[in-house]
Amino acid sequence: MSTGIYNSSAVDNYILEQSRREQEITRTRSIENYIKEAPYVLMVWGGRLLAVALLIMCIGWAISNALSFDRNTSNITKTMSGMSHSAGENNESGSDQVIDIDELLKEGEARDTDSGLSEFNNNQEVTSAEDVVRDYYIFDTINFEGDVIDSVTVGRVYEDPSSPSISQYCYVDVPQINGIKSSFHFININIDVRTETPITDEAARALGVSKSELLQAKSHCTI
Amino acid sequence: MKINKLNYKTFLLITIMVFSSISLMANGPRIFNAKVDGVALIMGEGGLASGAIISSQGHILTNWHAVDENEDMEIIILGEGEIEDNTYQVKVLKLSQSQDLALLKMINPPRDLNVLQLSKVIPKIGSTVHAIGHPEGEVWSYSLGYISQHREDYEWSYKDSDETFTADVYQMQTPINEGNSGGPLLNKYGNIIGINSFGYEASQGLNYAVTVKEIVKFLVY
Repeated sequence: MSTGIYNSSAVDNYILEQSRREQEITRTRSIENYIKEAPYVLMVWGGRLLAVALLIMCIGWAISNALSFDRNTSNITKTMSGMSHSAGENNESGSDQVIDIDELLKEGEARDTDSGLSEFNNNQEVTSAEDVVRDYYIFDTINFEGDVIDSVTVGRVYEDPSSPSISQYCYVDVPQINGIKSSFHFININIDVRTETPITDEAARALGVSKSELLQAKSHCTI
Repeated sequence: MKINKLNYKTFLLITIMVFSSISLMANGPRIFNAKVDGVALIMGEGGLASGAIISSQGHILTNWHAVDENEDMEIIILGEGEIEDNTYQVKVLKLSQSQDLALLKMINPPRDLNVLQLSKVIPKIGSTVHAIGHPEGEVWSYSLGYISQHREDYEWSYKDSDETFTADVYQMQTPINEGNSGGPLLNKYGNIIGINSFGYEASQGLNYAVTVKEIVKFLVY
């Protein structure tokens, strides 16, 4: 009995080589396919992201709408210079539109002062025509934003409407804790005799005002 | 895999909704904490009322009926120290009976007042509003509600009083009681959109605030 031994290495090498070639071809085709598919994959993911973004935006818009305020142009009209911005402007930025209250208050005070003076002047016309007024007073109130003092008053006394003032004075009213106001006269002019009250530490302390505030208030005296 | 993706989206949605809800719920405490010391307590022989501090000089906006025949008025604000340290004398600067508005000014106000601002934006019907005041003497109380309707040239009167009032008001479903009168009605930014003024006792959720439009007219004219 004999045993035949075949050397098959050549066949094996050939098959191995063939297999490697097939693998390389497969890898190359995979890469080519991937390159071809890449835009479509990107589009799919982009679409998904867009959908999520739209969903978030819709929810945000719904919440914002539920909480938002009407930008109605009709109701708040331009009743004053400080309200030049329309109430109808969009307000999506998340901040409110506010009114300049200080400006409003100033405008209101100015209007009150004007109306008070005009009323006084009207009365003056009527009464002077009837020629019954003697010794009358005109007060000018000057706004002063101090810690305690809020206005400086200048008063003028006239004998009759056509005469120059016979006396003038400038003073401040300082409110006290008991509710009663204390007046401090800075300047008195009585027929060309001018008297100025010295502003001392004692006087300021007695009034409950700082000396510097009194000095600042005095600088508003226009006589 | 599909279930996992669905869960992810559901989780994202729920997270967004939860955070939105939390932010909504947090608005009330935020506004109260930021604005409570901008609300003054008005005390006089006639009773208690509320007021809104609107300027650093101590201007306080309130109702006319809160100061009418209310002698010896004093203002109390929230601050450090005892009540006496935060009590201030006040003078009446301006009144409008028909609009039921009054402007007061504190004498010697502190420098660090928390000033409330007036919003020029008109609230939508259904929008959330906040009130701070002193209902029935329960000082500095917060309540939450909604704008129910805008009422122009609305007429009302108070019991035991001959006066009639006419103004633009917001009808609202915000609980207010006696003592809330003159207090601020605030929007989601904590700015004033009205002055809480009156309500109908026999009804539920029928309360009214005078609008900023009226306040502007009152302050300017």
